[in-house]
Amino acid sequence: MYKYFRTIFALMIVAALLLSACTPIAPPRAAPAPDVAAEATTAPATEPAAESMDDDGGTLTFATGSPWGTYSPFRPTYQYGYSSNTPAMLTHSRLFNLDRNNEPHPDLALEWDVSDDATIYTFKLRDDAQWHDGEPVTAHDVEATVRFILTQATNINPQRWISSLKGGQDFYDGVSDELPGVRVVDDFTVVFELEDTNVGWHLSATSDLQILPAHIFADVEPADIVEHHAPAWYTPELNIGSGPFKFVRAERDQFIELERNDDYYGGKPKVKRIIFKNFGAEDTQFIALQKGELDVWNVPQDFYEQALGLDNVDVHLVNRNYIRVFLLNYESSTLADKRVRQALAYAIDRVGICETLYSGLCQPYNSYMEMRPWLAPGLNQYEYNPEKAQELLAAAEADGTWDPNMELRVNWYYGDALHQEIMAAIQQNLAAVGVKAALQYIEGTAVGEAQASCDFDLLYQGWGFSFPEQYNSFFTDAERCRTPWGDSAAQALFNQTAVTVDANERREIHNQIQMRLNEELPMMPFLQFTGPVAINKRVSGFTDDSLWNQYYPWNNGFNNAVNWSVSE
Amino acid sequence: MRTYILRRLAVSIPILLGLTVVTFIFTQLMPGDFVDALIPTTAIANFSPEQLEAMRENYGLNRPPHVRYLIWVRELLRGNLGKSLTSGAPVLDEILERLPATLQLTASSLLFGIIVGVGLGIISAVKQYSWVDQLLTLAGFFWISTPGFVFAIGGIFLLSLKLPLFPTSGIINYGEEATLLTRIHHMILPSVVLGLGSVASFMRYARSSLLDVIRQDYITVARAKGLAEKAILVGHALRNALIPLITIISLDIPFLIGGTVIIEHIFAWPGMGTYSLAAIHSRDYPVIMGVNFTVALVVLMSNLLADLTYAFVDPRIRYE
Repeated sequence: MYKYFRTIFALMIVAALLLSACTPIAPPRAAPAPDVAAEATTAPATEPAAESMDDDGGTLTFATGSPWGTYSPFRPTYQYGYSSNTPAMLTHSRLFNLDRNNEPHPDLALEWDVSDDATIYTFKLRDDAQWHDGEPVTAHDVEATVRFILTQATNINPQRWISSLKGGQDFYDGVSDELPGVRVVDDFTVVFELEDTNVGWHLSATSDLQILPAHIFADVEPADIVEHHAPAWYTPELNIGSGPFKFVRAERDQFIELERNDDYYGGKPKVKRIIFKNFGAEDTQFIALQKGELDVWNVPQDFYEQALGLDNVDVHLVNRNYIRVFLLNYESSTLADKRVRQALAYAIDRVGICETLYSGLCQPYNSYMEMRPWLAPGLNQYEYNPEKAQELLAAAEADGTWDPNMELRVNWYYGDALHQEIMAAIQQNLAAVGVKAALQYIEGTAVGEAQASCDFDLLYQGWGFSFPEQYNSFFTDAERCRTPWGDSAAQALFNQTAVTVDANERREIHNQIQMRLNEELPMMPFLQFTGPVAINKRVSGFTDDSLWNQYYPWNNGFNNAVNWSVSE
Repeated sequence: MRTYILRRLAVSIPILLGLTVVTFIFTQLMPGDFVDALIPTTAIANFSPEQLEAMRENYGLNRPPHVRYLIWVRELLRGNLGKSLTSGAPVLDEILERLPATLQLTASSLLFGIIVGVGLGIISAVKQYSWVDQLLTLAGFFWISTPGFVFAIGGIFLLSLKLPLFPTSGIINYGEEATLLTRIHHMILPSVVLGLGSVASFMRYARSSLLDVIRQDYITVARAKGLAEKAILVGHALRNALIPLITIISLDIPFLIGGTVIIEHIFAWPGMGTYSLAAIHSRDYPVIMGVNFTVALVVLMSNLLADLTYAFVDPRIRYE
């Protein structure tokens, strides 16, 4: 019988070794990359891995999320409201890039012009840009890219283009093959024409449009690339861009490898190679950062104080255009009196919550306008004042618009323990001024339904719009509780911003809206966040815009990547 | 034997179908659907209800649940597990791409658990009530009651950061030639972490089983005949004591596969665990169904294999 056990053990060992050998893994670095390797002017495909690591420039390593989510996959086109992630930002170019202050910077387009009625946008392209395979980048590529993303079979559905571009809806619906909204004037001039006046359309619609090579995508079947995880996206044959880095290879769930484009029109990048690697859970990522395997990391709040204690990294704080708000159910009679809404704002100790629960990585905020340069002066700060809250509630009670026996339903969708504590703190703050609150966590996937049916009293929510023009549609297309307010006066003001071409005038209108919302509080702006980014001390060249871009990879490409460098 | 195997396989079919029904019901009970999960909550305002409905129609999510389940079963009978809603790729291909990594992790953990667990169990039994036995008993309780992720993070911290013996994560080192040795090097830490629970379980069962056998009459007879204690232990007691462990080992396999979900996530191991976790987050129903079906199939087959192994190791057992 002993021999049976011995045989079984031996078989198990053999099976384990066989499985080990059979598991699909990435080929070694030296594996030839078809087509791209042939075109590459550096690092021949047969060059051993160790030698290419020693080449000038070194390797910069980022962490990708695990599991890969909506933002992470390599798809250099729109994806349900956002475009792709940092790898695509580095391999592909845009017409222009926005910095952290919403200022446009030339990229493929050297200059652009907006007509007086904001219906015609003209872009003049540079004539020295070329694709990674050596073909020139022209206005025909821009036109082909727009036609491609508007093709319904690609399942990209870029709403901003479909509804705005002249003939966009008909083209998308397949009613017409013509797309009069985009015209190629000459090889380096492209014109977009809109159905109606749309101020700042180019900021929201073209800043995150990665231009694709027409000569490659002419032969691509939408069915092969319909989803962001589609295998075709992970091939160097398809991922040809005109950005500072070239796509080399990727293993899904493991890593993406890029190498510098020596012929980049913006200059040869300093860093030789960039890796986006899946390091597993956040704890593992933190250890990889300590160990020096990971160079750049968006530090989760739980690791912020520990990261500050590391000797090998610098932790930079980034002002994020990201806020948390409480949507208030403006259809609810309980919250109909603005004194009640204001009382809620006074009752909650936001400074205390930031300092004790968010590790100091936030501050109270009092506007929907996440961009500080556009923040209206003179807003009421609603500093923590429980006595004031009680006065307002008492006045509302006396007028019969507030019943202290009513219970407010507070919903949130952040499924971590931290937010349970935050909600408990808010519940205590409210209880201290005599407001009963029932806490109810809802799954993130059920939020849309809850909003659409106005099934909440207070809903804690994150907003991440990065430029004011995005609010034009966000506030004005009000459909019950999906947007913060059904107030016609506010909507009229928002509508006005959409047709006011002059930026200063537009800012003034936004100031008016902010003051009005600040007084009426149909939604309660709550906190604005600061983002910590840990960068290994061997890395240099990360500007404020690059750091900011770590948080908004889907919205901004002004990351100055050619100047990133690492010292060995 | 053949009849027995065929009968077991036939019984497996309704069990598998039952499991798929339960899985499908659970997926339907989860709040939200694939389209809800796909669109970030901050971007939901950009989509009209008509667009959302069109997307649901596009993914076939607007059909009644029972219709979708029957379509899934029909396609399953044709060997088709459907396409991932997230990637658009065939689920079967994606599973086959990842299954070996998970099986590799599971098999190596099992191997570690058996060798170390049984070895320590024997020592514990032979040294019954000694300080070694008591120490191992204490360690066993510690191993079995501590969640795997604690060992995982602790293991990475101690054996990768403080004592750089193993890599932090992944299946190979980037830029390194992928040899069998490097693969095993990456596999050791996650396998040991995953297998620690099994070590404790196998150790306790091996100890208990061996102590039972040692008290049997035939062992007393062997001693009376003057056989050396080592010969009694290895030649008579151990062989019989280890037979019940086959059941324990087969029962351990589902727990090991379940444990891979967390361990693969922590170690960025590109297997079924990582895959299924992503599918659950994104409500990728075909993947959830496909992964559960595959895991159920593996577990049922391992149970069958365990039963068949009995017949090989114990001549008294015959399947008719």
